[in-house]
This record gives sequence, structure tokens and C-alpha cells, in this order.
Amino acid sequence: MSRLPSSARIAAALLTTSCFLACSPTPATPTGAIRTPIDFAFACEGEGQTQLPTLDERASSLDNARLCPDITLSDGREVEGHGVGALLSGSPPGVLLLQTNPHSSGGRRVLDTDRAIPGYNRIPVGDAPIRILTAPDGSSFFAVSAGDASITRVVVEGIQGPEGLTFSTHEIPLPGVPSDAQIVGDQLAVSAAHEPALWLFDVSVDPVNPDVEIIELPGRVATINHLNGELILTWIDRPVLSRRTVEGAWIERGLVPACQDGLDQDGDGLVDAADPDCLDPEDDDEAGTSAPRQADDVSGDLVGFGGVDPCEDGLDNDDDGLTDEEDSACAAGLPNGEWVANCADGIDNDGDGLTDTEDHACYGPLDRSEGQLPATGPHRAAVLDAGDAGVFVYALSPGRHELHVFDATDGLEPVDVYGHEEIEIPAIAYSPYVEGSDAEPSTLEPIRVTGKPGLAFAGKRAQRLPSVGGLGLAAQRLRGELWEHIITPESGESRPSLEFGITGAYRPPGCDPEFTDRCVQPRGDDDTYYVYMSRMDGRLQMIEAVRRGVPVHRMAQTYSDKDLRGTAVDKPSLSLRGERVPLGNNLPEGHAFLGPLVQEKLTEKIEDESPATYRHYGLWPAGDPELVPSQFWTVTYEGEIPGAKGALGSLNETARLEAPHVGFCEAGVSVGDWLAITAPASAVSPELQPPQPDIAVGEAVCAARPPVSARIDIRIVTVGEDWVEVDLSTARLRPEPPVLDEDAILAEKQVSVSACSAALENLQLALTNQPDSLKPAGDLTLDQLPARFSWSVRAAQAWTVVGSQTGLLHRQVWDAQSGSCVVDDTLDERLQGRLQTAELEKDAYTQCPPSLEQIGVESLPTGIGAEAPELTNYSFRAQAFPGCRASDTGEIEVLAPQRDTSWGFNVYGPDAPKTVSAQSVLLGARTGTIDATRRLMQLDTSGGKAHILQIRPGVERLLQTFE
Amino acid sequence: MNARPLPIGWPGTLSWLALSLCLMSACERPATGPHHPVDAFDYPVAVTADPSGELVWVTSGNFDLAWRGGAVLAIHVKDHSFVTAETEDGPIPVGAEIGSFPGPMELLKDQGRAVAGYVLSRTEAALYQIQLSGEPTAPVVDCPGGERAESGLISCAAEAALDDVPYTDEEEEPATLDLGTDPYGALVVEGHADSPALLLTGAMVEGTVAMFELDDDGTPEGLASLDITGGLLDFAANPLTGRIYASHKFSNAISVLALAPRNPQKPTAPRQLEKLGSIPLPSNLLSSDHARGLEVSPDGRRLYAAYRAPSSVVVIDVSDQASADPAERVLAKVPVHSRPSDIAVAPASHGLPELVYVSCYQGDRIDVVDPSLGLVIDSIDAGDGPAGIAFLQNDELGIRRLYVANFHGQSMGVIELNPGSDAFHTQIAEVR
Repeated sequence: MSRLPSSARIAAALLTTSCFLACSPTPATPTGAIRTPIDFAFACEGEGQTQLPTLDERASSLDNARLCPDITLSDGREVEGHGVGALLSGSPPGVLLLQTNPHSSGGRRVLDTDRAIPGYNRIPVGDAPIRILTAPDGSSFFAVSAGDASITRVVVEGIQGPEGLTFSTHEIPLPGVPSDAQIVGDQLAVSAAHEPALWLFDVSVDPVNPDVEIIELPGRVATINHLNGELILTWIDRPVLSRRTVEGAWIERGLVPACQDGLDQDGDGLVDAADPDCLDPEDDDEAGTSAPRQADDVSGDLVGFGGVDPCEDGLDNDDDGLTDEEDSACAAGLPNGEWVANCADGIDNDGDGLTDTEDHACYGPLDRSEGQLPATGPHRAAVLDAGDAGVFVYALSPGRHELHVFDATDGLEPVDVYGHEEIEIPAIAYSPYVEGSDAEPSTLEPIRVTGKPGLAFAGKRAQRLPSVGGLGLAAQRLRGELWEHIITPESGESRPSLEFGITGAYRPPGCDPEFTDRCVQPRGDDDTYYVYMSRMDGRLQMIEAVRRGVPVHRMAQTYSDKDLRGTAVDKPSLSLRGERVPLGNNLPEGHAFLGPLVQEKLTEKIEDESPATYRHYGLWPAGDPELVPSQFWTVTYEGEIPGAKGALGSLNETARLEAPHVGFCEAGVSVGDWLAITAPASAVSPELQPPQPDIAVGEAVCAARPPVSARIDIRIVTVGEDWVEVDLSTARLRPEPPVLDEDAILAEKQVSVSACSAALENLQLALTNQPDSLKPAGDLTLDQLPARFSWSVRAAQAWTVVGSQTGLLHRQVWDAQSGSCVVDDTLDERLQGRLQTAELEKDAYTQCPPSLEQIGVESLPTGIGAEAPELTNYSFRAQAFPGCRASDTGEIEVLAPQRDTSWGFNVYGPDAPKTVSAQSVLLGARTGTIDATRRLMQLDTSGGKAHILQIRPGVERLLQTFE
Repeated sequence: MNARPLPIGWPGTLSWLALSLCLMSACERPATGPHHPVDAFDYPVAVTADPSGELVWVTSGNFDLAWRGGAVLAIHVKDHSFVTAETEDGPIPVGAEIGSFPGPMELLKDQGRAVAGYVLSRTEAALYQIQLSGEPTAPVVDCPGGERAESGLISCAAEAALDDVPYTDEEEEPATLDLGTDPYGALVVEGHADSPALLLTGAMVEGTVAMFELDDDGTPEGLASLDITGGLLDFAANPLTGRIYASHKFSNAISVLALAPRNPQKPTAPRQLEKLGSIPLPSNLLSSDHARGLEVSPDGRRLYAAYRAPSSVVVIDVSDQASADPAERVLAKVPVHSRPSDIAVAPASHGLPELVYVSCYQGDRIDVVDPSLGLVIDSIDAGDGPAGIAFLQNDELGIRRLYVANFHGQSMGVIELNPGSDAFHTQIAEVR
């Protein structure tokens, strides 16, 4: 840290570049009123300069409430001061002044700095402005410009006087390009965009020529906030939120998983990829004592069974998107090059001059890609001082679509926004005051806020944001749910109160004339705080941080009425091996299904009266809608266990597959699941060649090439922390669809290609995974397999139920003490992620598809469904039934489910987030707050508008639009 | 060659004029009329940096149909002069006359120099191939069927330009490769040891992508065709993954393309292009005008798009670790001046971070975006109607500049990007 003498610092620069103008300089070129609004600041008109606002909302109407004090003009008139909104515009760069005080003469309007020039003129500032701030004493505005690397100090000297609008400006040069600025106490803090430094200007003593203190920082700052004089920073190059204490100490928290945040969480001197406890960038636990990871030496491994080099087998063996010679290790002639991870191949794969782990793009020697790092940022933050409810910092991580919440009361402690216990926001009882009536006391209902145990179990660290990304954050205290006016507590009072019975005064709900002559704002009514996120679609995402004094940290809710807070389910869709299966009114033959039918029409449409109504079966409400997160679910027969998948796997002599990047137990892998191996057909022994069924068209057999891949399932018999063991005697071969040899078909002229294609399509249904199409592999030995293969783990004879946010729910944990994978009985039983199919006799169905009555629905519990297994998780209950097929003779046959039959559907919980926007805002880069009045200035940067919004819980009002 | 209707013009303001003239001329290349001048631009639309680091190529649009055709003309970056090449017959201008309403010139590089160029003509729906030989910094320009005008400028033959190209399709059957209607954007994908260079062209109306294989001298051979979303305007290739991104004027989606893996059963079959998916960009429903210029960051992690719904630069995560949900890959949407058109990326250097320059056609400015900040950190006065832009850095010459085709200004602006210069981020020359 260094302090430069005021005069010597940048005096020369000041002398040459500053332009102090004693009176109004030439205004900018006249334009339409508002163009490219970027930021907003606020003060009140004063006498010779602006001043801080004073708020008095005791008047009966908000329009008659006072925001700015009276001032005496130079001609002796006494008037109510204008509210001066300083709107920073980027095109052309300037400050446009707004009169925001509704009761002041002329009402709210855009002010023109020079009436002699047509149009609305603005106060010119430096090029590419980024921020405007009100001086600590309200006397001026500071407009910070990146293009000119300067601060323009704007003093609005007067507006309503006989001289008209007068102002002066003064330019303060910056040492470099700024990235952000903020008033911190008496100082103007400006961060450097291109160097790790912060410039602190002391504007309290000499705002025209302020002393500057330069603080060296560990990185380049993206945004500045402050908390009681302490800096809260986000960074351009670091995905970290930092708090710098008054003493200069740092408290830092990652905004990405611990193993990619650049911090040494466990204090072992090793950071992220350099710490062997970090398995991959998504690993959120850096602690531990793992041994350094070594590159897997594959050079001595045998090539495929048939002697086929993995660089010549036509497959992308290491799943890096590059096949054979496209893989640089193959191109370089490395033995088994496709099997060598890019970060251990001794090649500068991305051509940046750095090889393997020298390259910071390599996440250790096991990383298969040397080319890319996760993109993060730009990070944004907002500080929320919610009084007794706590102090919080919200930080936006746009690359991950997450909003982190930290308790900053003492440090920066992450807040568990999903996994918390149930919270009850207390009711507010009040007496609605109605002149001359005996209204009964009324109550604002208590609000129940549940955690989301499933989400917490899945390890979510932060609020998941809607898919429309965020641009910025602002935090604000709201007006009361009952008291719309802001009443400042008088001296000695802890809560706002009003004397009751004064004519012309505000009479809020909650006043009880029977018991007191003063009316006290009900407890909790003045203690709601929101955070707003400007979204890329122009809307504002509202986040309810504190409600009635209780921290809740959740998206503001679309519905608060209990009766409206239910759940809804989309019509499910069906796919088979990733290909969509069209669903008509009847379920197509051959496919296993959830519940009896896809949908049922309940009532016919009545013209001009009511639409037709339908009901979806098979997915029933689970119970408590408050526990239901909105997300997309896939229910897949023998689906892959999420996260349990890899390439370049191998089985050791004990038939164990080790994968340090996979937590098998905690991914939900169970004993009995399948280890599903995929290998080039040319690289497995003849006994393991995939079955190749004939594609028959009548008597003719279509010419086909042998399948490229062999697929072998082996039962898992032991589940470890990062390994599984299999029983080789259980291996089964899965048939692979043949590839039509069209040239041969054409040459043979026995049957057409299109007929063969149709026959192949029919064969697919029976081919893949009907139990009788699997072929036992006999006594499998390791030497029949290639040394390296791709693998995944699949549920055995069960459906995997996977939520897009919650993942596969289960209760397994790794017990390090016993070294075993155990079920944690203390966890909720609704953490279920597997669904069994109803076991039916071959001729159980009387028709195909079966009737509602036969399967049984909620009102008919006597059908097949009454005995079928059921999955109950937090979001829904479901049953699965085998499909059916009608034979040519009319017999109805039950068909076992096929692997990769997948049903998908959205379940909507009651916590649908609520957004707000004034009209059709095109792109609001920032939202300014008018702290004194707890109102928002939503800036439509592209649409050239600025809107004043007033938001109370459940009530949003547009007060004014400037354009 | 078929006459084709002129669609909604780009950049657009003269489209009514072009359209009316087009109707009169049926949009065919006029057989007579003055040749394009060798030392002036006519509604320039694009600039291309030459790999030699000493030249830039300006595509002159001939939007008012004042000349026989459009042109590409080389400008030397040292003195901003129109380049001439020495031949046995004396000096000749370095450039070529091509069809009207052309797109940017794409260059095929070999050992650090350009050996061929490709420009699409929208009115003719044809691809002009330009051969470059001789001195890399003053190449002799030729083209199939070309004849030298009195000025020495080679006038490429419309008849020799490629439109319907015979090729062998993926079924190895003879077929015709159609460039589609209103082709504009092109991309050369550099070749590797066993993989020849490729040329992609994009048609604005149908969204047809035509793919050519380029032989050693740059001759295109038809390979494949793929119809994606209409309004196709620009391509960008990821240097690391090889993925290709395409912008669409009529849609708020960026298409993601890639070369399909070779079918091991048909190892000799021509390479195919496949659409892997698309990245939706946040949009407001009012807009009918969406993405324009595209660029990928040198590290392959971010894709930048000039976007008009509304005017902004969109920063998209295209790294390996990007969200599985394409809708969640947009990191920032930075408001810029009106009607952004083209994008150029200046890699981190001289103590500056990677910066994105975007030409704002209606704002007459070049906005400078720091993508890691999500902010416009400077805005540079440009000429009238800045459209195509190109970044060029030549450390030997001490040049780090942005070259701007000023569509209405009939000029090429030169903007200093060296932070050590007193003229940093100002226009230092305007070549007319």
C-alpha cells in the first residue's frame, strides 16, 4: 500500500487535463431525452449544490409526502427542493437530470440543461461511463468513465432559481482504466480494470482535488461493495468473493467448487489441481491426505485382442471427441495413443507452448483435455444489511447459473439455502382501521418455508437461477406489507409509530384506536428485504432475502396463497435409446410405461364455455408440495447412474475397476448393478463378439456388416468409495444393431435397401435388451477383454429416476471407518431413485394397451396397480408397468421393459420464481436503488427508458417512466 | 447462372436502392459498364487481415451498382496505400473485381502466407475463388477466367464463379451442391496432416451451409451440404475443439456444427457436416434482427456474438465445462451502441486483457468490451456506418490495430490498439 502526496501525484495530469468550469459548460449535443442509461444516483436540490434527501411520509398520500427539504432560492422564494436523479448515459456520454419529486413544481420529468438548444441536453462526462455515485454528503455526483479513464465531478448548483438549471463539472484523472467504483465511507473507491489495484480518493476533504491512496490487491477487481467500511470484492480473474477487513486481512470464499476456486481450503499449501485431494474441477472438497496422482502408464498395455491398435479402431476410445489420428497422441505415434490422457502425453496439445501439467488448462495428469478451462464470471455481488436479521452478501456466478448467499455478520459464511430446517415466518396480527366502523382484527398468515432435502443431498451450494442469466444485483429494504409509507422511528422509539387521529396524516392498517393514541407498526412489517437481479431478458428477478425479519433466501414466489401453492406435471414424453417415440392418444405397443395411460380426457370441450379437461395418470402428488422443486425428471429403465461413467477403464486381477474421479458409493451405485463395458468389437475375444441376428425380409436375409462395438454387462458385487468389483461369471453379451451393407444388398438384388431398413427398425425393438436377447459370456477371463475400455454403471432390472437438479436420490454414504458403503437410515426415506417394474404374468393384459380399469387408478385400487411396486420421492409417486404387444392371432403378450426406455416430464413446484419489469424493458444492465424511498430505478439500457418501481411483498407498482 | 431475388439488404439502408436497381437489371452481373476503381471503395462491407501481417483486404460492396462489380482491394498496413504488385508488364493493382453485394474474403493460408481467397456474391449466389501468388506482401491476384481491365485490376469471370457445383454425396452418388440463396458468410477451416482444408459457405435465406474441400492450390471441390436455420450470416471456428458456430439474423440461436466422425465402414466417403445443437440467446420478443458477427476467443473458451435483440455483445461459455443446458451458457449480455455488426477479438497483450471490439453500424462507433468484466470500457469514434472489422497485430512493424470497413463513409478506418501509443483507441487514419 502506498500513499502518494496530493500535489505530486498526478498534478501534471490534472493541470493539463482537468477543466474546471466555473459555470455551466457547453452541454452535450441535444438528443431525445434518454439514451443508453447505464447507472443512476440520487440527491436533493439544495442551495448552490445538492444535498442528501430527507424523508417525511406522514402525509396521507404518498404523493404529498416529502422527499426533499425546502430551499430558499436566490430571489428569496422558498420552495420544496427537486429530487435530483442523475441518470448516467452512455450514448452520448453524459448525465441526464431527472426531477423525481412528485410534489415539487412541475412534477416528475426529465430536466433540460440548456433550453436554448432544442431537445433534452445532458451534462457531458468522459467516454464509456460505467458508474455514477452520490458524494457522501450529497453535494455532488461522481461519474466514472472507463474510456477517458477519468471521474467527472458534477455539481448541480440549482434548478428552480431564476438562473434556471446551473451546474459545474470538474474532471479528475484516473491512473488507469476503471472497472467499478463505489462510495465507501468518506472515500470514493475505484478499482482498476487492467491492474491489481484499488484507488481510494478521499473526497471528504477536497472533492475537487482529492488525495488518492493506492491499494495493491491480489487480482483485478470486477465489482466493489462495502460493509461498514470493509470492502466486499469480486474479481475479474478469480472466482472468489473477498472481504477485506479494516485491518487489511482477507476473508475469501469460492464461487465455484473448492477444487477450481484458486483457494487453499485445507491449508496444505496445495491449491486445486495441485492438491491430490482434488479429483476434478467439480470436486467441492479439497481436504484430505491423498497421494499425488500419477499418470496412467498405458504404454505397456496390450493392444486389442485382435491386435488392433486403439489408434486404428475407428473409435474415440478416451471419449475426448477425437478419433484415432485426430488424437494428437496417436498422430505423434505414442503406443496406444488413444488411451493416453492429453495431460500426460508429453504433447503441447493446444499449442500454447505449455505441455501437460505445466499447462494450467490441465487438471492433473488424468485430465483428458489440455485445451480448456471452465469459463467463469463476470461475477457480481450485493450487500444486504438487514439489521437484526443479519448481514448478507449475495454473489452471482453467471457461468454456473448460481446465486451464492453468505452470512457476513462475522466473516463470510456460506448459507445453506436448500438444506435448512423448516422456517416459519410469523403471522402479523393487526386491526384494519376503517373510519367509524368496528372492523375485526385481521391477520397476515404465517408463511412456511421448507428446505429442499433432496437438493441439499445432491450437494447444491447456491440458489439455482432460472435459465435466463443475470447481469447485476441490487439489494433493498422493502416498504411494509401493511404500512406502505416509511415512518422513521422517533427518538427513543424502537419501532416506527404514528400519532393517531391527526387530520391529513397517514393512517396505516394496524392502528387500534381503542387502546392507544399512537399507532405502532406491527413487528416484522418493516423488516422485509429483497435482492434484485437484472436479467438478460430485461426483467428483474426478485429474491426474497428476509421476510418479516426472518432470513429465507429464496426466489420471490409467484403464489403466496396456500391454496394456489400446488404442484403440476407436464404430459410425459417417451424416448427409446435417445429417440423420441411419438405418443398419440394410445400408448404405442411394446413400451413399458408409468401408470396406466399417458392421459385421459375428463370432459369434452364446451364451445364458448369451457375447454376439454385432461388428467395425467401414473404420476401422483407426493404429499407436501412445498418440498417439490421445479425440475425435469427422466425415468429410464436400466439407465446409467449419473456420474458413474468413464473411459480408459481397466479391470485388475481381482476384477476391480478403479476410477479416482468417481464416487461410486455416493453416486448411488448398488450391489447387483451392471458394469456396462463398451469396447471395439475387434479388441475383444471371439467369444465376446456381439450376437449378430439376421435381418430378415421374408425368406431373404439382408447383407450386414458386423457391429463395431461389443457391449458386455457384468454384475457389481462390491461397491467401494472410488472402485467397484465385479463377478466375471455373470458377464452377459448385449446384442448390437448390425449395420446394413447397402452396397452388398444392391449387388445381390434380392431385396431392397428400404425393406431392409424397415426390417432393421423392427428388429431394434426386440434386439437390444429383452432378457432373452442377452447371451451369457460363459467364464469370462480378463484376457478376453481389451486392456482399456469405456464403461458406465447401469441400474439392474430397475428404472433410474433422475431429477435435473436433484440427480439420483438415494441414501448411500461411504463409511470411512468401516470401509463400506452403507445406507444412512437417518436420511429421509423419500430419497428414492429406483423404481421396480410391476411383475406380471405373460398374459396379464386383456387388451393392448391395457385399460384404465385393469391397471387401476386412484379411484380403482383393485387393479393390477394395487400390487405394483411404487416409488415415492419428494416430488411424486409413480409405478411402472411392462409394455404389451398384440400378436397376429390377437393374443396380448406382456413385454419386459427395454434398456434405455425413458419417460421424461416436468414437475412444477409451488416455488415458481417471480419476476417484475416495467413494460417491455429490452436490456436492463443495472438497477439503481433510491435508498431513501425504497424504490427502484429500472434502467432499460437498450430501450432508452428509466422506470421508477415500488415493490412491496406481493405488490409491484410502476410509479413513473422517463423516456 | 440463375437470376435471384435480392433479400432484405445488409447492412440495409441502401437495400431499397439496390432492390430497385436489381429489379431493373434482374440482378445479373452487367456485362458492360465501368470496372471497379483500383483506389476507392464503394460501400465497403468487410475487412480481412492477411496472414503476412502487412496487408488487409477490403471488400467493396458496389451496393449502388455503380460499377461492373464489387471488389477486394489490398491495403498496406505500413502506409495505408493501395497495394500494387510488380510484374513483367509493370505494376498492377493487388485486388480483384468480383460480383456485387459480396461478403467478407476468407483466406486459405499455407506456411504463413495467403494462397487463395474466397468471396461470395449475394446477387449472383456464386463463389469467387481468388488465387494469390508471388510476393506474400504484394501478391499477384488471379482468378478463373479473369481478364485484366485497363487499370490492371483482374476482373473475375462471373461464368467461372461457382454456383451449382457437382459433387459426390454421402451415398457416393453424383449430386449438385447449391450455395443457396443470398450467400454471404464463409469460413476456411485449416487443414492438418491427413485432413485437407475446408471451405464453408452460408446462405442467408435458407440457411444452407455448403462445404468444400480445398486442394493444395486452393481449388474447391464440393463435399457436402447441410440446411440449418435461415438468416445465416457468419461463422466462427473454435481453434481447440474444431466446432463451428453460425449466427442467424432471423433467430436468437447460435448453431453449433462439427465435422461428423468418419464412418469406419465407409472410410473413403466424403466428410459430412453435422449440426450438434444450438445455443439460444436471451432475446426480447419484439426483435426480428438477431446475431451478426461471431468470434471465438483464442483459448477456445468463449464465443462472442454481435447481437441486435437488443444491441449488445453476448458472451457465451463454449468451454468443455460449459453447462449441459445450452440456454445456460450465456455469461453476459453487454449493451453497446446501436446495431452492432461485426466482432474482433484482440488477444491479451501489452498489459491489456483480452478485449472484444464491436462495430456499431448505426452508432458510428467501435465499442470496446472487456468480456471478463461484462462492461464497455471504451467507445471509439469511427467513420460513417462501421460494418466489417479485422484485428491485425504485427510485432515486427509495431502494429496492433483494428481495420474498419465504413459502409457509408466509403472508407476503411484504422484504429490504434497499442496502449503505449498516444493515439490508443482513436481512429488514426481513414483510407478512401
